[in-house]
Amino acid sequence: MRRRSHPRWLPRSFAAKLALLPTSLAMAACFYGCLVWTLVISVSASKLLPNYGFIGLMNYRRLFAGLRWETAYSNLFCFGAAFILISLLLGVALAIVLDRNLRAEGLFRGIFLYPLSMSFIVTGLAWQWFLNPTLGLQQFVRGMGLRHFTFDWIVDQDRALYAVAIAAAWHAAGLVMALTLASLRGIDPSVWSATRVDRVHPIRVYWHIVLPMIRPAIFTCIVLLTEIVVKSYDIMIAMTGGGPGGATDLPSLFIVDFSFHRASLGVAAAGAVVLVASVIAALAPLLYLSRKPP
Amino acid sequence: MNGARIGRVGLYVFAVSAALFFLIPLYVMLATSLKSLVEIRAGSIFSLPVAPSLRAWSDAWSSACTGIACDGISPGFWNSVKITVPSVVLSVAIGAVNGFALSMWRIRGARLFLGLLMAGTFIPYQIILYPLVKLVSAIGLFSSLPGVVFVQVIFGLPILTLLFYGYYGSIPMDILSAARIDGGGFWSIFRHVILPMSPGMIAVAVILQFTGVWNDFLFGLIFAGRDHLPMTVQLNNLVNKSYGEMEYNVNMAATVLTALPTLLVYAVSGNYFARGIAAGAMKG
Amino acid sequence: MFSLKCAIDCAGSVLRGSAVVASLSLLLFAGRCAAASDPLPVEVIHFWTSESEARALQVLAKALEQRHGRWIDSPIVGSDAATSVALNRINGGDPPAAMLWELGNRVTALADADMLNDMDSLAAQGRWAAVLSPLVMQHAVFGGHFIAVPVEIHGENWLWFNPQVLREAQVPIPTHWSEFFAVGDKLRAHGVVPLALGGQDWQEVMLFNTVMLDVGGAQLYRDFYIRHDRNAARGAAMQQALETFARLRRYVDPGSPGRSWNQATQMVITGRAAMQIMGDWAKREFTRAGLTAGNGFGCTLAPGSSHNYILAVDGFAFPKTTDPRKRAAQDLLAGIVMDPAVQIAFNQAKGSVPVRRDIALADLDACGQIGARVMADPGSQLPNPALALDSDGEGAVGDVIARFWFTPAMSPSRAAALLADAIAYQ
Repeated sequence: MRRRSHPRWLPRSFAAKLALLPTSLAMAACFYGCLVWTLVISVSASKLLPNYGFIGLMNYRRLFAGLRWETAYSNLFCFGAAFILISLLLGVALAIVLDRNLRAEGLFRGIFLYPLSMSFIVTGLAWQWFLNPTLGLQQFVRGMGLRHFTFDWIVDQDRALYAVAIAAAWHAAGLVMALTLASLRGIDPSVWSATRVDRVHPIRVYWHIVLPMIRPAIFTCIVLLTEIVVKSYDIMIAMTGGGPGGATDLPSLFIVDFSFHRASLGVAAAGAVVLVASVIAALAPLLYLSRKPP
Repeated sequence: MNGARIGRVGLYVFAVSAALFFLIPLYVMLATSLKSLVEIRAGSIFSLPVAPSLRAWSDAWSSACTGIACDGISPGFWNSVKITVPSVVLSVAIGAVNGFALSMWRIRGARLFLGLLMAGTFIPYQIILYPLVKLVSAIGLFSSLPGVVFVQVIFGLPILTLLFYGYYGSIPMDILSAARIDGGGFWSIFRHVILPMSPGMIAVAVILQFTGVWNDFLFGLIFAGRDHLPMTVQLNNLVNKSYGEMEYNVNMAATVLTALPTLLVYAVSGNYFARGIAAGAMKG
Repeated sequence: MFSLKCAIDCAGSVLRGSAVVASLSLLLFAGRCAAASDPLPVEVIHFWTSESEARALQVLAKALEQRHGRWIDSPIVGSDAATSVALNRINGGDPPAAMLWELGNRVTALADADMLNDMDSLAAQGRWAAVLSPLVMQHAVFGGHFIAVPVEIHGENWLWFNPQVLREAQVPIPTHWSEFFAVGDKLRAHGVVPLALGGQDWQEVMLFNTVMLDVGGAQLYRDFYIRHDRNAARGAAMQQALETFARLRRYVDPGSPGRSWNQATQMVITGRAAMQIMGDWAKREFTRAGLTAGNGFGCTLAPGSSHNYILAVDGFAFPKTTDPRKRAAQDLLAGIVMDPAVQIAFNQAKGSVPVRRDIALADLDACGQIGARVMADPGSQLPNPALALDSDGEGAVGDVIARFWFTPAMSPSRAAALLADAIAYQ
């Protein structure tokens, strides 16, 4: 479907522009105004409350010299990569499976989608309970006889992050599945009949033909999943509270902690700026690559 | 044909295993909420409740302590409804209008606008709390129901606008031209031509926004004020209480109760959702 | 391009615990008959949501009522969430009449930002300076003004234990951490967790502080926390304290990360664990379970700290307001809090120590008596991290200790160096 993007084709309307005004104002003020404010605060001497004395890059220096930011920032990438990878693989696999016309497809789809309806707090609480070494899965399997079974990722400094990634992927895989399935269903059936005629093995069909065709959907998923990663706070707090010794710390937790509990608004703002800049830097090439020709 | 059959069976095996993976946490929540504390401590998480009882559920709903008050999480339920319904109605309406304006009328800088909207959704809420509070109180809405609705609407607009933009983008121009020839202006075309064509997308938008607002915690906590705290806040209080033993069954019951409305919405309109995504999601 | 919203998108953030309840504050001053029909509302934001804490607050509420005031309760679960909410309320122009907080860096930060009303006139009237200990005075006063009214004192270096478990394992109560290891080994052999710990930053710091006190003495504690001496932080004594602290890892069960303090106390109550290092607010968990001091549970000062008392002081702070009714409400509450009769009733209900030195609690149980004895000597009083460091430093120290606790590979010398960095900005 050709995008109606060429302005020559579109009629003018003052009413249309007016209709957009409230949203524009709100965006300008709430998103971008606040972002600029954060930038200003990051170079100010703000402690508990905003204080507009300029102190240059001091907050940034403190940010990078401290113990927590380094961990939180690298956790963002580890967690992000793990979460996006698992969600994508699982979601795409589920979509492919569902695309093959299974029986009770509606039921399966419902089962894969329902976690999306639960808040992250609920997800985090349920999984924390499930992964608790003394009460959850580990205890269960040990009770069944495998006395040395361990699955204590959630209290393990090196693995807690991946435990949370699994829980988050459980939540978000349905979204990937829905988007990918829609895209798969949009593929011209003649593609399939052609490959059947040529007797191409299904796996090769998927790998060489189908996946490239659903690239836009995958890109959309990656962007949406990245959004979730950047905003993850609830699930981390609900599952590990920042983890054994800061192992599951994230920039969002860092920012909240430093803004409110450590009376270091300036450092928190510096962290926020670095976070937003990183996200833009990471996504810009992706967005550029995924632009369809007009 | 053997290979194909094995392949088929393999597909089902995979689907069923995945379904188990997705269902297990729900099962654990439900089973735990039906057990007594003694049974929870003694038994394993997967065991079926020996003497299932709804006591934890009634406790969670009406008598568990969330702070000093011990009224369960039911007070939060109506607050959540009062916050969610207006937020959804307003944001879907405004999002639809925005999408219509951007996709069917000549607006200079429309793509830039959309890009900025999209970028805006990446900003984590935590960092803009301070200025946001100042802003909302400057317009006199802090600590009130209209205040939290305002904030929810604002933060829901980017995605909803994009959603409707994509959907309306697939409507052929001829329809619009015909309507204009008939003398329609922006609003009359919207009301008489576009709206009747949008129920699918509206359903998707409503589902998404409902889920998002119902599950929100931060904005409800900060902006709603003492008398309008949503259910998510109550749930958090309940689960994080700082004394006594952790009552897992009540916690799980409260968790499911909080998740129930959105679960129901998905159960009832899951098909809409999937179809709506198919219709609108892949445009642009 | 991206036209689908994540349901997750607006899920918002979870601030630990919370139930904000904003309220109006009515004011009524005792003796004033002008608007005599309406009691003066005093809205208080606090995070004391357990039953015993609520009972203590009832004492204040009743005293308010007797003086024609009305207590309006705004409880928020979790002190961190309470901080955030209170700050945002002040920010949003709708401050409560009073906030109940731990005295120390949080209150000082507010005073520094000129966000608090002072109670100087009341303080002069009631001669508070004469009845408060120097340490408390130090933190109730900022820049020469009385900016917080203390209501109670808690001690942080207590050892709580299950006497039956110790009896069955035939182990004595350790009086120094060096003795603990043998005791711990026997307890482990007996199948009990020797030390119940909740794996949260502040709990680990609390434990570490008692080790620091034992190994380096009050001198090291004062050098580190009060004088912010970086050399002391890096020095041999501190490293030895860290080493002793590290050895305790073996005696804590693997499920401890993330556990809250009251769940750790439950472990001691049920006999799953033998001992816990926790402040004296833990007592109410035991009494709630129907146990009595000496019988179902035991209390003593932490190993190696029998002559020192690490204090935590709680009190009320009053956000700046020019509204005369709110101001009157604040004065009313402040006056009540420092009233001797109210102090006695309150602290008895709460199980804490009164801030006024000129009153004595009767009917103290065994634990209360220990506390009273140690408190009698002002020289033994030490500030807890919240009192001694600013929020940033307190947090930084917590980061280091928590990181060290969970990272066996980190050497004590590295941790000591990090501790020195943590207090660098004090």
